[in-house]
Amino acid sequence: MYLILTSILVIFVGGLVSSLVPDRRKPSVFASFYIIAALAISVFMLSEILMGASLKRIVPMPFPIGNMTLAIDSLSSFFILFIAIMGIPGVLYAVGYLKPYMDKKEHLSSHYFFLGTFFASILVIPLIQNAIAFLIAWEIMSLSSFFLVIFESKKEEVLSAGINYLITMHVSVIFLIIGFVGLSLLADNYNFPAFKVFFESSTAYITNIIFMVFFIGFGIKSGFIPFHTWLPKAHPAAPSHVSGIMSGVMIKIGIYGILRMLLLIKTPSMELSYFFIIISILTALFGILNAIAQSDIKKLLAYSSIENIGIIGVGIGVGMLGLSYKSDLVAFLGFAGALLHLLNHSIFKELLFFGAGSIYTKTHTRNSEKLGGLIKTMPFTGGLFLIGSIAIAALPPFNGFASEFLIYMGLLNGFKIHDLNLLILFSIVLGAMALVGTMALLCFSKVFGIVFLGSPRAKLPHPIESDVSFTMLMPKLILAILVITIGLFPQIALSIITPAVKIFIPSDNLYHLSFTSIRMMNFISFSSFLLLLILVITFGIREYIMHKKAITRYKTWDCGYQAGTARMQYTSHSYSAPFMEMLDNIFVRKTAIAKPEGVFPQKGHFRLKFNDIIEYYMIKPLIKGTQKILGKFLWIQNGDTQMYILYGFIFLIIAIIGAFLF
Amino acid sequence: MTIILNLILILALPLLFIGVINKTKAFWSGRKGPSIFQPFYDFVRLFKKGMVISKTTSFVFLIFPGITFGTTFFASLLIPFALHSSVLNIEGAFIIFAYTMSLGKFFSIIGAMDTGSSFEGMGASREASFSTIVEPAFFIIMGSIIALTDIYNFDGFAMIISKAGSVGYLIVILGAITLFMIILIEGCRVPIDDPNTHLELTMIHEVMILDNSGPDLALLSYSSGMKMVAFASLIANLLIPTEIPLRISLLLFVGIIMAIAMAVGTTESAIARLRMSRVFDFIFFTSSLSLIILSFVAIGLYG
Repeated sequence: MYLILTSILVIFVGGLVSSLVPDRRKPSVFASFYIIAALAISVFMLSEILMGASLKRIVPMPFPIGNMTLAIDSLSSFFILFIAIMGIPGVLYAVGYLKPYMDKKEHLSSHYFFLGTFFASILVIPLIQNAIAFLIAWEIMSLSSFFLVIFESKKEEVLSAGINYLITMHVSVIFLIIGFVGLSLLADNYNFPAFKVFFESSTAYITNIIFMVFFIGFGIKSGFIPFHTWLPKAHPAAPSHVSGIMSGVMIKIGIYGILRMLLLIKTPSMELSYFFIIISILTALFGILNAIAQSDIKKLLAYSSIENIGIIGVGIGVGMLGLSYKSDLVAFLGFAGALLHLLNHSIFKELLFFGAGSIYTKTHTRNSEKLGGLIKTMPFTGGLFLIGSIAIAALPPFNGFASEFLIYMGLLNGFKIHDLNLLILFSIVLGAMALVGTMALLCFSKVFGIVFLGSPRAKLPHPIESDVSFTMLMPKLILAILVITIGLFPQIALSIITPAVKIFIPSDNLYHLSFTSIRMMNFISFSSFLLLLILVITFGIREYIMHKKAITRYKTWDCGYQAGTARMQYTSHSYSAPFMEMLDNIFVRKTAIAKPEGVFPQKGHFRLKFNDIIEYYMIKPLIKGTQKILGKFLWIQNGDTQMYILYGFIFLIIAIIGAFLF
Repeated sequence: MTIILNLILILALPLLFIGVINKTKAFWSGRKGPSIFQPFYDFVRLFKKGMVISKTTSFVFLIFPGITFGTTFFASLLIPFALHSSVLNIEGAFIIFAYTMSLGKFFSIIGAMDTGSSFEGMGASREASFSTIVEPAFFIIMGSIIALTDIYNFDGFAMIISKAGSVGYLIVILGAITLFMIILIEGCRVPIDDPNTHLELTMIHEVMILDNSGPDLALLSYSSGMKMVAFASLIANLLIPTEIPLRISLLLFVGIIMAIAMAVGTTESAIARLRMSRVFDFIFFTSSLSLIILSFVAIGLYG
């Protein structure tokens, strides 16, 4: 326990130290601090996981926390290990990514200070089992990540996205405060073990209400609909290493919160489980639908994070239904699939965000309509991005497939519980998951095809001479190796996750359950190798046939039209158009056309934008309404110092009277 | 033994399937038509040729035909032929089947986009859009059959009637119809796509491989046939009653697949290609059918 706390302190100190050293040294100084601490944490946590031990300390803290429980169980050790390891590529990528910002007098010092604070606070959250300390750590994490988002705060859109993020996070905190304070009042204690005791005796009705409050609080952080609107704003605004860390690590801490609540309430009621799986599948569908509509690479990746949170949520929902219906195998497969997908998603999403960062570094645009043919100038970035795209579309033999397969198997095993409602729900979810999978295929074949293949669609301000530097490629290479390793050996990843899954399942038959799921992963592993073998043989034969044949290089077949230009290629929007037109009602489509006119037409333009319907019809009116109501109180803030002193005075009097009355 | 037989069927049937389709089409239009072995000659001829490759392309264009072929072949290994266990017998086989097919599709899409041709981009876009709607139907059907039979691979098909009773016949018939529609969609046949059209603007699958030539083109048309045979053998497995000896079931199996090829050819001769906006309606119909199958399964289990 003290080793963990010391390592977390080392990360914080690393942030502090690197904010003091000269600009050029900052990234590497912080990276070395972070990597040493993260490795120490991971070694400790891995041994902890494998030994299956759980640690618990009660630490006396000053007011208002009181006696704070710190505990490491299998769930928190998995999350700490996960966060520590998944932070490493991000910190390494920052070394290369921040190079162009060195001379620009950006706020590198504060950036690194807050990066250290962010990692320290997010690593400490899974340890804390005390409501007040949890809220404090949560708030520190949210604030420091806000400062990470507004790194380029001179740009107006970055600042506005940052403030949007800050406000959304505080709405989340409000719900968490309501939840925790209410729970502490009911349980008469601030520590989680007391909450657990309380839930054992409470009615299902009260448990559901409390869980819903926490779900909203944590769901905002994770990006469940309809609380997802901050994600597609904050991710494009943040620098790429931060987007990678936020999408790979930070939104998962919301999932941690939900899982922790589930552990406290033990057996979720049927209604809660149904609600959770339905909202999750809707999140997945909504996320990927909007991802298809985007042409901004990072915005697309942000929506795809929402989709993947939805898939993780479906896994958790399957697990919850397994618990509600007392089917251990379904519960095990659901939670295992969810946790494995959580790990997998952060690997390939960081890979893709860093890929997008490399594209931005070289081309200075995130708009895929202006790109094309990048694979010729940036072959390594392109190849690694391809691996990430295949993995995120959950295609075998890469890692995304293994976790989705577990969730699918959970759904299929759910049919064994003879229940008509469950049969219908699981069949629909099965179809919806397949729909999400193929839409992800559409989405990522689009990104990869438009950005990297074909020929450049517009002239870039700077010609690209070479691929990005090795320091920017290496973190992606590490992630790609992880993608392939977990894809080929999912059983290893599953055995690391298994202890965390086991604590959810009240069964003495756990050995059998983990054996069954490991056997499934063995099959996946076997079939991945067989697929690779078949591909190798196919290419061997093809190579044998082709090696002495003539290959002529000629231009692309243009159907006899001689004046084809690169601008005639399919664009991002035209690629998704057939699909989007089919689902026209789900989007708010904004078009602006200026047709070329006159005898010698000069210029015309066409602009197309898809708005998020939840944001457009739900969040925007909500904000407008709030502004209208709160606008009535504007007179309070009149800039008059005397009035402000009067307010303070009135407040004091009320406080004193209140103290006397109660 | 059965494995070797199975591999022979997987490798031999695709070209025969295409040959039978073409022969049927020739029959309906009153022509003599090429021999049903013509696709074999074409295949060999293409393999002897060299290749022309666009200057715009990258390595993706070179690897995608091989990957499309490899994945389709792998997916075919998962399907039992004539109800004698498949080469690869895995729980949840249909998920691996669908996702491996999707891997091939992913590569053929990006391979088409690699040429930078607007026609091929259009084909890729349509192929990706259509497949999004087919897949849910396929998953719901397979899921319902698993719910009914409790068997997690394709072997469960044989149990449908014994488990569901008389509703089982309806499930089998509707399942066969839906899978037949999926063959038309995945194989890009009329009424979704016309493989013989000469107007690039209207094509889907054929336009995606406009720039491929020689051995790569051979691999692509071979794997497109293999894909249709894979779905056709699913139908055959649905229709073959369980307990019959290997020799008869084999004959029955090949017979059903050839009958399906004739049905595809007949469909192509009888109806015209649908307007692009109507294609989506056609594909959505598979989803409706899959939901009807689901409700029959529910009746079979709880009714």
